[in-house]
Amino acid sequence: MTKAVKNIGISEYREIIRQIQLIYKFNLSNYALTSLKRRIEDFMYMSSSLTSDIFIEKIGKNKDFFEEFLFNISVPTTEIFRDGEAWREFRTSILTKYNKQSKIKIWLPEATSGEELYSLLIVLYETEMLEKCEILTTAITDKNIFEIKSGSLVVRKLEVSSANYQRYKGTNQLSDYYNKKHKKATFNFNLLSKVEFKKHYIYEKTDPLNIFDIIIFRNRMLYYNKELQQTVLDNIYQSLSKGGHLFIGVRESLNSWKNSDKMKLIIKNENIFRKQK
Amino acid sequence: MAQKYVIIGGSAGSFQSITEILSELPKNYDATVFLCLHRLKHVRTGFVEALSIKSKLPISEPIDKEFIKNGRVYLAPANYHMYFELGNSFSLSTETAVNHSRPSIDLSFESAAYIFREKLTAVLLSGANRDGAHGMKIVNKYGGSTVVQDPEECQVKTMTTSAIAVTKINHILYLKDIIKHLKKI
Repeated sequence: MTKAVKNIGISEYREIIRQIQLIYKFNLSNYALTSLKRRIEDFMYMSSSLTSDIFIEKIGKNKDFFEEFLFNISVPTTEIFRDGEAWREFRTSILTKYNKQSKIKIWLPEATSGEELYSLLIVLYETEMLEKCEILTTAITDKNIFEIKSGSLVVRKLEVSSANYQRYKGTNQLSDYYNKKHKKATFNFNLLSKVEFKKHYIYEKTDPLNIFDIIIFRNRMLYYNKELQQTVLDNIYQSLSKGGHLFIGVRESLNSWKNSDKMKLIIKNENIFRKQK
Repeated sequence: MAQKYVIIGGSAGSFQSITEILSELPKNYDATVFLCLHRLKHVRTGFVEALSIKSKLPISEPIDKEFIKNGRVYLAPANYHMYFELGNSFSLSTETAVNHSRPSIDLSFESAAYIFREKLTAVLLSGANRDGAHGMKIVNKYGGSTVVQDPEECQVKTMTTSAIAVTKINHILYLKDIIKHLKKI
């Protein structure tokens, strides 16, 4: 059922964004408007903030409330092995290129929930490459990191995830990678222990955290406008090694990015790019 | 004349009706058509091809932030919600399913209503859940026109009767009259 959310007007929306910028120096003005507006409305409803004035007052008074807000407007990734075929291509056409390399650095920027990381860990484990990988997962709030680290899985999504895993053609069963007790499921802690987590803000031009061989950044740019896409893609490009690979969502593109000619689309249907040497 | 937009929602039992509508719309149709249809989440290819067989208008699934062009048909891609942005472009999303659906008709209709206002005609066809009813209400609110397939004619009536129950519908029509209506807008 759709929640009965009162729609906020465009000027109220802009005022909320402006106040957040003023109070916390956090810039939401370059998010894709329509979907963010809806998520703000949903959060206002959830937190019983009847008007935008009441909402702004709560945000201003309470930093925890603001963090909660940021966590709630971040869109979780939907399933483990979403687009199973894409992960299969990643395994067969990309990872194999790194067979001879002794160390592989991988970055998942702006992670919101664990599904992409868990998929990656399973792929690396099954190809026996996990030991030589350094994986960094960054997120905007501590709560995102906490949730991902806890390995907690949404039980009702496991059926879809298992079907995805079949399409990915993994060598085991998805259920080998999580523990399910009663109505709670948790991802394998051993695999998770290989991952480094860090809070990181990607929306402004920054120095690279490191230089990575592979960056997995699927379905994150959907929530940005084109201007923010430029900045974030510049940051990502700077953080990618020459010849390194970028994996974006199947309905995303680099077309409007001014440096798009510096990246070569090498797996067309699955949107995997290589940085030109 | 001002640009016109048509958005069509449907699920179970609507595929035949959609192909019929597409086969009747002329090659020089002066509007943009959006289709938000419930579909299998993991099947990414084949649907556009199947719909294209009888359509005179070009059909595609939008890429995120793609500009909207007149005289084309756009199908909401599998496992993404389809939104519209100011500045005439799409934005896609992987947010939680709404009414168990992604793409959700409610979300697409609501967003189209807000962006296209009175230039929008929203059509709801046969379907098996309540998705679309709330969206129709928002279309009404922002001055768009609402059309529902006569439940008598629908293979599955839930979607159309839900919409009729929650909001004022401008036209309740049989499919052949929906086609006539869309040709005239």
